[in-house]
Order: sequence, then structure tokens, then C-alpha cells
Amino acid sequence: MSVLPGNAAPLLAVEDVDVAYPRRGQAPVRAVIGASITVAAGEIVGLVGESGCGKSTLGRAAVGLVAATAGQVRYRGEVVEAMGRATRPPRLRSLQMVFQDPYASLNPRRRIGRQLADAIRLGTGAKLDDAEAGARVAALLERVGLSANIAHRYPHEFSGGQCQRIAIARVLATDPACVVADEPISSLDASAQAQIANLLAGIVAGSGLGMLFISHDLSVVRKIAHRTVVMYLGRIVESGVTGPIWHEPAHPYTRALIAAVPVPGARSGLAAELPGDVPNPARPPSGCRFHPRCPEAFDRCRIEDPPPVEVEPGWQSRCLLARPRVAGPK
Amino acid sequence: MTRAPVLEVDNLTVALRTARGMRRAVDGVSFTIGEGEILGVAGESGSGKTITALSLLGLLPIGARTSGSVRFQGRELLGLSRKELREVRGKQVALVSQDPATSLHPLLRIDVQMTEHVRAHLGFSKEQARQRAIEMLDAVRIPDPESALLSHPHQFSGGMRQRIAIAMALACEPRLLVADEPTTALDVTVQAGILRLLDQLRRERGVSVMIITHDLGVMSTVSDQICVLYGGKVAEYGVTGSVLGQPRHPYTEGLMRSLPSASQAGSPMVPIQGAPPSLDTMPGGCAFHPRCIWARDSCRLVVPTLRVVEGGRWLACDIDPLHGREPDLAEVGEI
Repeated sequence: MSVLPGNAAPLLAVEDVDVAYPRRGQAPVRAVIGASITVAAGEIVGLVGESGCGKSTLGRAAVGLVAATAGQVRYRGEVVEAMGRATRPPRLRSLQMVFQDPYASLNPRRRIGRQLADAIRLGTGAKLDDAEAGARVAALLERVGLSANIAHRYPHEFSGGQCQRIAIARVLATDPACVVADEPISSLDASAQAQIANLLAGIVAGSGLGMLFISHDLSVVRKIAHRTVVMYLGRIVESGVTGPIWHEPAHPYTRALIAAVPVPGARSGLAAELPGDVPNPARPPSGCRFHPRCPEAFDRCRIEDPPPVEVEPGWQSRCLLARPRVAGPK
Repeated sequence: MTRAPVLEVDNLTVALRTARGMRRAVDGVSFTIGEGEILGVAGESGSGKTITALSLLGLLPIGARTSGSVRFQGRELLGLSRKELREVRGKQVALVSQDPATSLHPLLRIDVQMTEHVRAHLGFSKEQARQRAIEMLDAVRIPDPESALLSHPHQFSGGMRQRIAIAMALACEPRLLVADEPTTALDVTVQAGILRLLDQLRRERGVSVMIITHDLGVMSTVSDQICVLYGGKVAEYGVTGSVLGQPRHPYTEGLMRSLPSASQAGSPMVPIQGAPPSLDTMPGGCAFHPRCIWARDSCRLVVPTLRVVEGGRWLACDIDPLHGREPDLAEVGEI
């Protein structure tokens, strides 16, 4: 789909992926439909949408945690197979994931240092003695802004933000080239959210890894993502470079999402409301999936599933009203 | 403020029993809420915001010790018997909790859940209670309330469930609604609808609302007054627009600066360093001093007194950021 101006070969390419969850005695739920995303080295791609839109499913498919029912995911050109319970092949060990709840992703009964040493040994295959592992652990902890002397402590001794730093350190232990971060800051305190977002942005800027940053918090995505991908009910409805999308969204859903974000500061008045709820993905509306909630819907929207329209190079919108924009003076 | 206070909290202190002895989770908190007014209570985990809310409802954990005063419509709530509390709770003071998935009973139909307390509190007949439930579901804009009553919670989306939870809380026509992170589990688009609903309730029904949230964006769109808690104490308390527009407490200031929308596009967010203290790691002096970019030696020793500054705002900081030096951001490091 869209490519960075630099045109670098993508590190991670999700190509026309469908994910369907089977249901007993009923048609499967299509959680993701024909989604394509690329992530290049040194790039943060933000994936936003309401709960139930399929963004987490897409993230899990991207690292091979769920199987794509159609299409494929390529990492460094090679196909990422869903692995089930099999051991992750070495070529995929540099494709990693950060989860939402740091307490759930750390082992509560194993010391921090040991968990990180495990990750170094298993993730890189390095044969290290304890002293070497300890030095690497200390370096990792410092890289995520923690003191090296916490290695002997347990996860419960730390706040949510600190645990998320530890979880990020564990991902970094495998020396990843690409990271999928699924709502990494949503369960954290206000001040920790900014800390972790900055930490992730700093890691990407410093090490050149690629990141798919999944979040329902649009203001953070605006802040740290180079490109933004907006999902609605299984479909990618808009994607492109973050700044322009924010200033002039080409899809009514993106406009509604942005308008709903409350702005802090002087009393700003109530944010705009998008009527209705996200429909049940098991029974999606006909035509454009957004039409029942769309303020601009007209007859054709009920019938036609809009194809992606190239609004500008690298910027696509799935809306019948979207038109290519003529490049004008900035 | 001409509106009579519905709730007056004065010097409320709540000590909780922990493994290491009694610890003050709420320490001398005072605020008032007028009729039809929305007070926002902001704070991170461990700030005492939820314990404050629970103490209004007599729902504190066993072994908690309270002092100070919580007066609701002039009546002291602290020290009421369980029977007396039951009269107030759910009837005059109602709670909407964070997660509608857990505040509704998954196995009971909505009509059962929505009529039980109405019949118990108001002595309504079954049919009267059903009518009230329909009226309330309509007020929170649930489409087709009659068939909604015959449904189970799982048949609704998260936003709809939160509307139902609010309808349930409103069914006995309470004068005060305590909403603990009512939109945190919801999407922004749904959140906007719930906030509009709260705003409408206070305007049309004169319901007073105490809304607890760490989202300052939510806070500034709905609340009239804001009370920022840190380490169990009031850090800053006043009219929302002025407190968030021109914060005087370094903590409020730091929270505002850490928001993605606050800084320039392209420049990084400026988070407050460190993590909020827990009950066992509460620092001496000003509880915020280890994370404060303005902190002086005296902050380590002296607990700042809560004092009135201009515009009726309360402030618990001995250093006034407005008149001090520029904070040295480089000193605290990190991007």
C-alpha cells in the first residue's frame, strides 16, 4: 500500500490479509478484511480504531500469533506463518510484540534480571555465562530508563509504567528489528503514558527498528507515528502520513474520531459525538461498513463497498466521496 | 457560587489497614459540590481518588478509619449505621463504576437489575418500577427501552452497557452521582456521548456529579471545578478552566505538559519523571517533591499547607511556579 517517501523496502508487509474467527454452527466472523500495511525500518506506523475494529487481531496476525485466512504477512521478504504452539523459528525472533498489560506479560515469580537473561539467551541464541548475562541485563535496564540494581526484584514491586519498561527491555533483549506494540500505554497512569510513548519513540529513532503502534489514543499516535492507519470494522479506511491526515482527513470516520478527542486546557466544550455504536462484526452493514453512522452517507454507500482511492501519493481513503487532491500551494 | 452545596467534604482522612500497619490513603481532603455542578477529581493511581469516592458511599474496606466530615445535604455520612447508609446509598447518592461489564450482573435481565432497587428504595409497585426503568433508559437514549428491559447485558456494546449502568444509578433520582472513571473503558466516540449525557443530566435534572478521571481532556470538557489529588492530599482545587488553563501546582502543570496535545507537533511530550508513590513509599515533606522540577530543600521537609490563592483557588505548594524561575527541564533528563 503506501510507502514512505524514502521508498525503503518494507521490513514488515501485511498484504491483503483476512482474519476470520470460526464460530460453531455459524458463519465465521471476519475480524480483518483485506488489510495491507507496511512498516519500514526506523518508522512508527500508528494503527487506530475503536474497540472491536480488528486492530489487535491485525497486530497479532502481523507477528504470527493468529493465522491469516487469506493474504500473507512478510517479514524481511519471508512469509510469517502462524506458529501455533511451535517454537518460533530463529528468522522471526527479531519480530517482537509489546502487550497492553505489563503485569500479565511478565512472570510474577521470576526475578526481573532472570527474565531478561532468559530473553537474551532464548531470543538471540547467545551462550552467556551469568556475569556476561548480568552485564547485558544491566545495559538493557538502563536503556529503558531503569536502574541496573533492580535486577534482583520481582514485577509486583513496580508500578505499571515501570513494568512496561521492563517488558520493553525484555523485547529489546532479543535485538528486534521490528516491534508490534498493542496498546502499550493504555493501562498506564497519565504521567507514565507520556514516559513510555517517548521511550518507544526514542528507541525507534535511536536503533532504527520499525514499529507498528496500535492504540485507541489518537493524540499519542499523532504525536509519535510517522504514518497513521485508521481501521473501522475490519477494514482499513484511511492510511497515510500522520500530519496531513490530521489536518485534512479524507474519510468521514477519521474526521469523527479526531473530533471526538476532548481537548484539555481552557474549557473547550463537549467533543463531537459519533452517533450509534460500532456494529457487530458478525453482521456488518452492507456497502460501506461505516454508512449507518456516517453523516455524509448517500444512496450508493448502502450498496457499494468503496475501493481505496489514492487521495495523494501514499494516502488512501476508502470513501466514495474521496477524490484525488490536486497538489496545490502548501 | 449561589447554589447550595449538595456535598461538603471537610478535612476527610481515611486510613487503610495494610500489611505494614495503618496508612493514610486520603489525608485532609476538602471540597464541595453544588447543585447541578460537576466536580472533577483528578489523580494517578494511589492518589486517593477512589478511596475518597468510596467513603462517600460507605463502601470503604473493612478496618478503614475515617475522620473529618462528609455532609450530604447537611447530613453527616461518616459514622452512619449500615441501615442508615443503605437509605442514602443508591437512593440519594449513586455510583457509576469504571467497567460496565462488571457492574451489571451478567446473568440477570436488565429489567430485574433496574427495578429491584427502585422497589426497595421507593416502594414502587412492579409496574411503576418498570415504567421508571423505561423512562430512565429513554433518558440515556437507549433505543427501544421496552425490549432492552428483556435483554441481558452481553447483548449490548460497552457504551450501551455504561448508559444502562447510568440509567440504573439514576432510577431512584439521586441528587449526587459518583462516577469513577466512567469513560476510561470506552472508545473516544462513545465517551463523547456519555459526557454529553452527564452534562445534560445536570442541566435538566440538577443532578450533581463527582467525576473521577485521570483524563484531563475529559475533565476540561465537562467539569466546572477540578480537584487534583496527589499522595492522598489536595494539590490544587478550583475552577476547571483556570486551573487547567493556568496551573499553579507543579503536579498539575506537569500533567498538562505531559499531554500529547499540549506540546508542539513534532516535539516530544514532556512527562513527569518517576512514578506516583504508594502508601508504603510516601515521601516526607511535600509528597510530590521527588518528581518536582521546582523542588527546593524545604520541600523535602515541610508539608505545604493548602492555602487560597487568587480566584478562590486552593493550592498546596510553597513555591509558586508562576513567579519562580524557569524550570530546568534538562536537569531531569530524558528527551
